[in-house]
Amino acid sequence: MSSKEKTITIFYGPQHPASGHMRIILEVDGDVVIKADPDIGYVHRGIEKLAEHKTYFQVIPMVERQCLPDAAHHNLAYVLALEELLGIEAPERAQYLRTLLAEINRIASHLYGMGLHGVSIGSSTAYMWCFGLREYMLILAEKLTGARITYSYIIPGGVRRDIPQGFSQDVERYLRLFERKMRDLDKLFISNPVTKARLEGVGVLPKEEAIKLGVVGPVLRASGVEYDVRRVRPYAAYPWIDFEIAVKKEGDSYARLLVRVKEIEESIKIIRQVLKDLPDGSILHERYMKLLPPRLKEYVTNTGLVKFPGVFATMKVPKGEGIGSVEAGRGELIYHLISNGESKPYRLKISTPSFRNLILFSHLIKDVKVADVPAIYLSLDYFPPEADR
Amino acid sequence: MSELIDKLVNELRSKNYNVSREKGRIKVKVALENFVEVVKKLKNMGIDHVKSLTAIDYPSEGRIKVNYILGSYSTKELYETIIIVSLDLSRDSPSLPSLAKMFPSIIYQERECYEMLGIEFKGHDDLRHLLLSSEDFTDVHPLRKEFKIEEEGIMA
Amino acid sequence: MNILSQILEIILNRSVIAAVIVPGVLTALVLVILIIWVERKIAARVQMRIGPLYVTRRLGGILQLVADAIRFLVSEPIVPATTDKLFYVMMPILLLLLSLLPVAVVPASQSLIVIKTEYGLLAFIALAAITPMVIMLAGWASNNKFSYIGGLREGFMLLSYEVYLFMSLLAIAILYGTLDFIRIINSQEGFWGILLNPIAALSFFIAMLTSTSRFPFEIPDAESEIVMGPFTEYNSIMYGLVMGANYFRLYVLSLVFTDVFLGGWLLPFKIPIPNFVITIAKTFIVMIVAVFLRAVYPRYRIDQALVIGWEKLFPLASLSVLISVLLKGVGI
Repeated sequence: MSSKEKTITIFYGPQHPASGHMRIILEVDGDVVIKADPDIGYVHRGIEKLAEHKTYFQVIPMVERQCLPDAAHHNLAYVLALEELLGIEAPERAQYLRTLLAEINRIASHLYGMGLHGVSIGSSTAYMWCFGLREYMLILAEKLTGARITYSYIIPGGVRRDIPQGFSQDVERYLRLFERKMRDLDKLFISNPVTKARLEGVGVLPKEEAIKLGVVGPVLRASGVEYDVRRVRPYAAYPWIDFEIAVKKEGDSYARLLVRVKEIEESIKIIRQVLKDLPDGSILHERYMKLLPPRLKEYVTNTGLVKFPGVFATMKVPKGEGIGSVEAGRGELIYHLISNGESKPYRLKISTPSFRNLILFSHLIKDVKVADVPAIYLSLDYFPPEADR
Repeated sequence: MSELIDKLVNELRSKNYNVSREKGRIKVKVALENFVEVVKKLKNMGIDHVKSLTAIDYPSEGRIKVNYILGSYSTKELYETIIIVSLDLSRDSPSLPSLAKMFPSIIYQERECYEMLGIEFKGHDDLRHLLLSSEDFTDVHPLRKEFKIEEEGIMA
Repeated sequence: MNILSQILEIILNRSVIAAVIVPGVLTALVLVILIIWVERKIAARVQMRIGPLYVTRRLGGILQLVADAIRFLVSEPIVPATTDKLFYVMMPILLLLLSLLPVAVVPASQSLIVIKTEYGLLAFIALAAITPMVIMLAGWASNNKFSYIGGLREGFMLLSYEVYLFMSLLAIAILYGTLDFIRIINSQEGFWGILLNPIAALSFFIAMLTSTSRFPFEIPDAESEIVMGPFTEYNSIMYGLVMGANYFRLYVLSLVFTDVFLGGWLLPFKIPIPNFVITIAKTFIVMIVAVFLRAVYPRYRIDQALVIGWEKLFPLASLSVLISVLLKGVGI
């Protein structure tokens, strides 16, 4: 009897409570999955093609909306690539403020992934608590930038707004509430014996396989490779800040969860250091400040709200290519921007961490039980709109 | 820059490849004939994964430029380098040998490059559409410059 | 005159009251409506939310389930064309019937029992074992891959819990020397069953959780893996009946737990309340404990649940039988 008659094909499709906006085609024999084939492209919006028809400044809100939980990192990577083309570097105070927003966003992105992971194993309490904790981070981001999710805070030359009055005290108060609730979450979800039984030893990725398949982010660090772009090619304020990289050796789903929890703790340390060491200075580069009329310049230095000079709308960027690489919440993010002297980009290529982790679907989901499929797939923290662009 | 990187650059330069070092990156420009050789040499020196595969369409010059951005996870001294290997293809029927057997990290990137720009990768055993539906986009390649985006206006 | 007195005689017969009012259909309905509200409210408060609020706002949304039931009754039931129509429509009704059937042999007070028999415990186990077959039939009749897998999982779960459910009740039967519910309750004067043999109580409680798909054993309808398990294709009133049947089963098992381990209607002190109210109150408390675990645990995988059933709980149940035999030998 041929094996085709023994197996059934299941479409773990877009209309499924735990699949997200993508489809996995599973071949199942009894309770064991033999083969998994991802079928993506359900939310492909053609961002790379659209970027060739918008001016450089109009592309900033567009690239943020690819990955909503993690918008600040996409913003930062694009602006770093653009600043390399323009040949400028933002002032120090702006670099520290960029780091502050990036770390707040990293915590929010990790909580999003942990919450979805929890509800797929069956613990709806973990889901509600993670999203409730994420609220604290969104409130802080709103105080800083004015928007909760898509900030458009980082512009070429600096940032858009200075910190408001009493921000440091607010941050300290929220961080203390946050840490207390994280200890409760740890007792309820992360050290729960049922969670450990579900996640330990499931979806193991050994170190050589992780290196060969070129995976990124917490998935890579949970398999024992100490690679973090913030340490290896530092950008923004990271050369002057002291933090540790979270690394684990086992490589199973539980190790990935623990790596994310440790990264949240490190991000809290970074936020406190940034607020303590914030240097004085202007938040926008000199080249753009001197294009403003004197009354507007006074307004900007007094209130800390930037008014854009008119050149931003029709900026002509010199010919060349720029690469901006940051460590987003899900892994290494690379923006490759090529210009030929016009006011619109010639080619924008985005290499997102979720797309680079796609190879793990067909590799890890093999010879596992059907009930392990959500436990593995959501531990990779795959976000379909970011992979499809 | 560490000595391993210096050794890499010198070895590539010794074979008369076009190597340049700017802003902390190493750029190697090759032709189609010695492409696989250069990649094999880089692999022996410790490069083990592909970060990104970009292809850019220059219709006025009749060529497609392909960029491979490579990195290393296994050798600690090479962590900070980004190596960019670029080559030019003709626009009429571009085809390249596939690197899927050497670097498994490139499998999905080659599929996307194939459907967006029409570059055929010889030796890739599963070259089908990834993001776009295969019925509507069988011979249409959206990232080529002749593909126009339809714009809809709003009646005021 | 004759017919009227005959009708009155039938209505006021204790068995008929037991079947219709307490502990039969009406009590079951009221308790199920209350327990679903309690489950949603407790889970919501643990999860930093509020839960059902808007129906009867001042009482905290307690009539939410009545609103849901009315909604189920008036929405249009759709029978998909690809299913086996007879079995598809028959299953919810059969399931509801069979879930409530075992209550026929369980008493709520000295005389409120539908069928007075000496073999009450045995009849209960036999009647309670039929329900999983109906669920598997529902999974087959829906003609859907997810329902098929869900039905198979229900079959596997049956293999897991049935044995130690039987053995914990066997331990109690050995301890009291009888299979009759009313004699068991009367022998618990002064010492409740849970104090004499706590291990049997624990293993019966876990068997109760597994049998009615409470967390952490909510495996046949695991929503994030196989959409709704065997009940994926059910909608409107059929879905309402199926969800209700699950809670009816919980009610019957809790009633047995109360009668056998918590002394039925006996209390250490005298209160001027009718016996059946005490029994129903204790049953409600047991149901609240079983339902509270939704907010705490994730769910197990099916092979882990089977391993736990056979490697950890079967020895526990055997230990409880051993304890019963020892206690009987000592002379209690």
